[in-house]
This record gives sequence, C-alpha cells and structure tokens, in this order.
Amino acid sequence: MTATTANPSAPPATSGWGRRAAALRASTTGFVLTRLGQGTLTLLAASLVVWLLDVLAPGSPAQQVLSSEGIHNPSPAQLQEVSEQLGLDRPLIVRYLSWLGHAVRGDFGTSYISGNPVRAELGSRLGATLILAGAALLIVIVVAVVLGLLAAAYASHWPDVAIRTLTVVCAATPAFILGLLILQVIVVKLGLGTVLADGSIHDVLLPALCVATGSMAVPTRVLRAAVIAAVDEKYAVLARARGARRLYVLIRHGLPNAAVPLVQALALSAAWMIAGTVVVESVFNWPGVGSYLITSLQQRDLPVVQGGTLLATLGYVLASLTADLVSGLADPRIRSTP
Amino acid sequence: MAGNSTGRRGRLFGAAAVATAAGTLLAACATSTSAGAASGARPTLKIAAVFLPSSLDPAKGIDAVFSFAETLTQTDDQGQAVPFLLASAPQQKTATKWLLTLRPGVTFQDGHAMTAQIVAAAMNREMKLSTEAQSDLPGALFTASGANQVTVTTPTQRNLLPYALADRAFAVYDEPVVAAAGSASAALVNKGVFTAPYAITSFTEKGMALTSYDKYWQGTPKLAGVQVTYVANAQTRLAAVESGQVDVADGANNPDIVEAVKGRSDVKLNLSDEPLLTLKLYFNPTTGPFTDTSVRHAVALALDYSSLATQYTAGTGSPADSLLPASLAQHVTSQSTDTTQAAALLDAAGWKAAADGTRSKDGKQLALNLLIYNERPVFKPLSIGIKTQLAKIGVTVNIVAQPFSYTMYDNASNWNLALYNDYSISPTGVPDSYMSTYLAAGGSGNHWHISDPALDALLASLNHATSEAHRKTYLAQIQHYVFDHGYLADVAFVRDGYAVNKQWSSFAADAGFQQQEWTWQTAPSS
Repeated sequence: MTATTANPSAPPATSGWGRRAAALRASTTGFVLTRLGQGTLTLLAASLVVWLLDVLAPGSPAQQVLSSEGIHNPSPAQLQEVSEQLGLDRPLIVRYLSWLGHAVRGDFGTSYISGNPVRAELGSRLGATLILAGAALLIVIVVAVVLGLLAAAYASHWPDVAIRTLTVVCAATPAFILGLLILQVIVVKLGLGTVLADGSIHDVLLPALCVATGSMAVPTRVLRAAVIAAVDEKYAVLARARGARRLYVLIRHGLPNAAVPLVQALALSAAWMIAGTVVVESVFNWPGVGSYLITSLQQRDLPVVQGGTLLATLGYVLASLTADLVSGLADPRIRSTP
Repeated sequence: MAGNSTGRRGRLFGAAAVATAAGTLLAACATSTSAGAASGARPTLKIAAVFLPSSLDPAKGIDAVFSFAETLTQTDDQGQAVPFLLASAPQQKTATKWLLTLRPGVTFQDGHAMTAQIVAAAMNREMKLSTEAQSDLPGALFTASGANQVTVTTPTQRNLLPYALADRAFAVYDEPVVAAAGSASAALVNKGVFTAPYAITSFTEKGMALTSYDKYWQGTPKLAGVQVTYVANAQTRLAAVESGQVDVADGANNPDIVEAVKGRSDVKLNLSDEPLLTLKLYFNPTTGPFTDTSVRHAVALALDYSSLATQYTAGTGSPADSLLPASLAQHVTSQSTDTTQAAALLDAAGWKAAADGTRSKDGKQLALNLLIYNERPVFKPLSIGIKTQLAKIGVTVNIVAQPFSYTMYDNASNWNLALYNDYSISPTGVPDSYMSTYLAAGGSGNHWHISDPALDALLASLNHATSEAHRKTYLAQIQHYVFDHGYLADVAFVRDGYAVNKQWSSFAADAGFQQQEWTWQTAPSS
C-alpha cells in the first residue's frame, strides 16, 4: 500500500524515502484506527451486558429505590411514580440508548444506597485502586524480568524448573487465601505492614504483592520463552562466538527482543489483575473501587455495579489497546496483522 | 540502526527495572505502621465494625448499636423501660395522654439546653418522617407543656409508650439545628446535635470518629474518643484485633471467628448479655404444599430447635421455644418438636412416604426451597441442619443462597421457607410493634405473604390492650397461633459477639436491650 492509494488527495511522494515514510504513516494510522474500533465495539458489547443486569435482576429498580428509602412494601401508586421518574415505562431500546448516552458522559445515575452520583462514588475510590494496580504492575514487571531471565539463563536446569513450579503455584493460589495468609503471617505474626490499609502508597506493598502474585506467571513464562528463542538467533550466537558473556547476551539481545511479547503478556495479566484487585481490596479493607463493587453487589446497588463493571471493562480494553499499540509501533509485522 | 534501536530499548528496560525496584523498596520502607500516639491520658476505643450507621438522622433510621444518640427511656436488662433523659417514668394522665418530665441539666453537645420545646419538635419531626416512629405510636402528638415537661397525646390508648420511647426512632436531638442543616449525614457532622457522651467529628463510608463530650450529663466520659472503621470481611476484622490496629471487632459471632479464637489468650470472644439477635424461620403460605396449613405445621413440628441452636450456631445461640426469649415475662412455651405428629399430619394431608423415605402426592415430591442470604454466615450450617432434620420425615429441602435484599422475597413462587435474622425485641424490649409490622397483612415488614384475618384480629387486640394482663394473654395467643399455623418459628436466640484484645478483655456491650457498643463508662480493662 502506498500513500497515494491510501489517500488520493495527498500530494505524490517525490522520493523513495518519502514514499516509505508515507506508507508507514498510513499503515500505522489504519492499525490504530482498527484497534480503536475493536476497543469501542468491545465496550459497546460490555455496556449492553451491563445494562441488561438492570433488566434481568429480580425485583424492579423502582422497588430497589423505594427500599433504599426505607419503603419495603410500596403501594402500586408509589411504584408507578418512581417507575415514571426512572423512565421504566419507555421501550427497552430507548432505555438502553438513553442509559448509554449518559454512561458515555460518565453519568451512571445515583447510588441506591448512598443517594450520591455513581461517578462521584467511583471517582473518590479510583485513586486508591490505581495506586494498588500500579504497584502490582510494577512488581509483576520486576519479578517477571528477573525470574524470566533467570529461568532462561538456566533453561532446563533446576533454577528454571523451580521458577516454573513457583509461577504455577502462584497462579493457582486464590488471591483471597493468599491475602489472609499474608495478613496472618506478615502482619499479625511478624508485625510488618497493616491490616486496615488507608489506600495510600504507604500501605500498598502487601496488597499489591497479593495482586501481583497471581498475575506474574504468564509474563514470566513468556519472557523466558522469548529470551531463549532470541539467544538462539544468529546474531546472539555470533555475539557469544565473539566472546560475549552469556548474561550480557541475555540482557543485550534477549531482553529487547522479548519486550513485545512481554507487553502483550502484561496486558493479558491485566484481566486477572482487575479481578484480583476486587478480591484483595476486600481482604485488606483497601478503600478502592473493587471493595466498593463487592459491597454494592451484596447490596444490589445496580447503578454502582453497572458503573464499576464498565469501568473495569474500560480498564481492560485500555490495557489491551496500549499493548497492541506498543507492540504495533515496535514491530511493523504486527501492524499488518488484521 | 537496528542495533541502536535495540540498545535504546534495552537501556529503557533497564532504567524501568531500576526505577521499579527503587519504587518497590521505597514502598516497602514506608509500609511499617506508625502507632498512633495516645492523645492525653484517656485512651481511644478503636472498633472494626461490620457495618456503619446508614444515616446520622434519626428520622431516616439510625442504628442504636453506635451510641451516638440517646433516648428518653431505656430498656434495662430485666426488660423494663426506665427513665433515661427523663427525670422520672412517663406518667399516664388519661387513657390517651402522658406527661414526660425531662431530666434537668442535660445539654446537647452544641451547648444548647435540652428544653421541652426542642424535644417536642424532635419527636414530632420523627412522627412525621420516621416509619418506625409512626409504627410505634401512630398518630402521637408531642407538645411542650412547660420548661421541662412534654405532653404526649395519642389517638388511642398506648400503654407501651414508655417502651416505645426507648426506640432509636425517638432519639433526642437539637431539632432546630438539624432542621437548618438538613438530614444529610455529612451536614450533621461536628454539629453536636445529640446529648450522648461522644460527639461525631467525622463520618465517611470508611468509618466514623467521635470525641468526648466533656460536659456530658452523667459525667466526664472515660475515653478520649471512639474510632469506628468499617471492615466488611470477618477474617480481616479479626486480623485487625490480632495485629493491635483495633481493640474490638464486632460481628464476631460468626462460626469461623468463634473457632479461630477458641482457647487463645491474646484475643478473646465476648458475647453480649442478652441474646438480642433472633434467627427466624418464616413460612410462605401462598405457594405449593405450604398452602396447606397442616403441612406448614408439620414442618414446624419436625424441627428440633434445641439441636439447631446448640449444634449449628457455634455456641452463640440459645434454643428457642417461643417467639420471645425466656427472660421476658410474656414468654410462653409455644414451639415444640414432635416428628411422629409431623409425619401423621403429612400422611393425613396426602403426602405419603415412599420406600426411600421421600414423600409425594399426586406424583409430585414434597420439596421445599429454603431461602437464605450470604451476609449471615451462620445461615449456611443452620440451613444444612434444617435440611438434615426435615429429610428424616421425608421432606426434601433445596437451599437457595442469595445476597440479601428485601426484594428476594417478592416472588412468592420462588421460596417456601426463609431464614431471617433481626433484633425483634431490641431496643425496646417489647415485641408488640414488631409483630404487627412483620406478621399483619399489609405490615411494612411482612415480606412473607402472610394474610390471615384471625391473626390480624389478634394483633389488633394486642395493640389496643388496655391492661398488662390482656396484653400478656394476646401475646401468648399470638405465639401459639403463628407456630400452630406454620407462619413463623424462632430457631435460636443468638448473642452478639465481640473479638477483643487483652487490654479490652472485659469489654461488654449490649447491656440490657439497647444494643449499645459503648457508654460514657466504657474503658479498657487495665
């Protein structure tokens, strides 16, 4: 594809270098637009599922609203009045589009329980969740790089086997169990850290470690495999033949070539991390979106559940999109993949 | 070019890894807990709570367990209403008129004196806005009849007025200040609108803080303040006590917690004096086999309540043989266990036992859905106990566990039995209002689809009883009626549980029926 075919109105390129640059821009733009479109479609599909919660949940939303106001046995007139206020008498498609229009602007309605806007409720907790997720991501990166390199350096030897076993154990341990174990052993027995976290960076290590533990398996193994593959390439073999040390070859040649699969693996881990964050926040009393979502689920506070779920979906889509874009920019072959 | 690019990426990666390691190390260093310095000589009580008050406005329904508000009367551990913010017991002047004399020298935390005008205004606001208040004393009107006297006029005779005034719905507060601030909880923080020993200085979804009101009418509070932190997870609440971050964790009558603290010296489980929590089994009379009264009664008779209370509540439950605990004067033994009679009733109703013991009628098996909610962990073992016991007379039980919502009972075809937990006799110590609310047709708490004119007539008679003897008679009749007709059986009376550390080993909450987690005299053991 050339710049001319991609954009007929553009002035013709005057040199080979210019044509290549224009083609690169066009393929990059197309790639970005395609991925953005896919992300938007995913969000739209998720929004429909999330909105259907409201329709399929037992009990009418009007009853939920009245129940939250202490009216547990409302009269038909009260139900009718609130139903009209909530627009429940409109056709489903109109209700969905209206809800979607508000959701796009970040308006998920009002919490049945607190009576505050869902956006404000989620917004006040988002910072704590981002701190937790960010810290967990940093731990995953550090551990994946260190363990992945070690496993690659000692491929098929006991350190490699031990690391692979460890990652399987970590991935298989439920975050809830691990969290309670950390609380009992590290906090209660050893007196390190805190049980009732305040959501700040000071208290983040233990809950972040808990979230990261289940997420580190895939990036570690992907990095190991990519590094092993890279050090078998001719340039790496040549470097070793020229006397370079094995560790130097691993870091200098293996690690950069493992960057793209590592970023993709990290994006895959984001899904687990989002789920893990919800559980870990509850165990550590972390005042983030996840623990709020669990409480809201228990209280059937549907507007909050809808807003929180869509927010989590958005987080996952953004993580995937970022991974795709970074990978695409780093490796032109990925841009041509539909 | 490629080599340069790879080199840059490698350096970037290395830099990121170093930065990450540094950040992680920094976070690790910062993680150590800084112990809060003691403020003054008086300590602060730190509680990990299973829930927070839903509101600070009594008109919206506050939770008395957090003792930030006080009432005109209280119910003592004998179940008797005694004056509290009143100087003397309410005086019944006529059948429908009562005189309340306020205790002198009581001030709100904002410094205003507790006057008859303010109290009357607060009570009338409650009557206007609170469904609980309306249920306790329908149509009551409060009038200031002197500097420290309030007259209460009711449309009909209300002998239980002294008890009703102990309800949190009649908490006393500085009405003009609340009316001006609005009923939003945030607007009531730092306003000092109550008379209690500790004033609310912060209130968020994470917790609440209270500080000593040193001019409290009973004396200077023993604590500098109270810090309540909301901790939903029971194991986390216990870990908070174990780690010393809090002194007391409530909601510890959870079977897992009871087991976890058994035999330990560093953490102890304290149970409340009165078994205020009641685990109830409601029967849905509108669906399937339960449309037949004799089938409901048979199921009620087939349960061994003593065994359920002792084996499935981790030692926190007392057996129930009535809707009321034995400590109340109105208690009569109305529940019994008789599997032979239960089987005979089912046989007579046409539910015949097959060779495998299960019962069927017209080709349909006798199977019941037992609805429980996840928020009360004791329901899980208890429901298994019920299922096991009913299987012995050929009744199959399917346990349906859900997150709690009142709407879960709406669809009558989904359930036959429902385990429900409440404080039916607290804080007033009388069940009268509760019974009408939960059992009468159209009662605001009747989620069970009960509609029985004979029961309604008994409840109406109870509400209009003109003497204690009549009241006692009607209460006895109601207790028998709801069991014999298979509407409701109490499974166990359960004590509230608190996990406490060594310093607070003698922490005792819930003296009497008031559900108070603290009073002005609450202090550490050592």
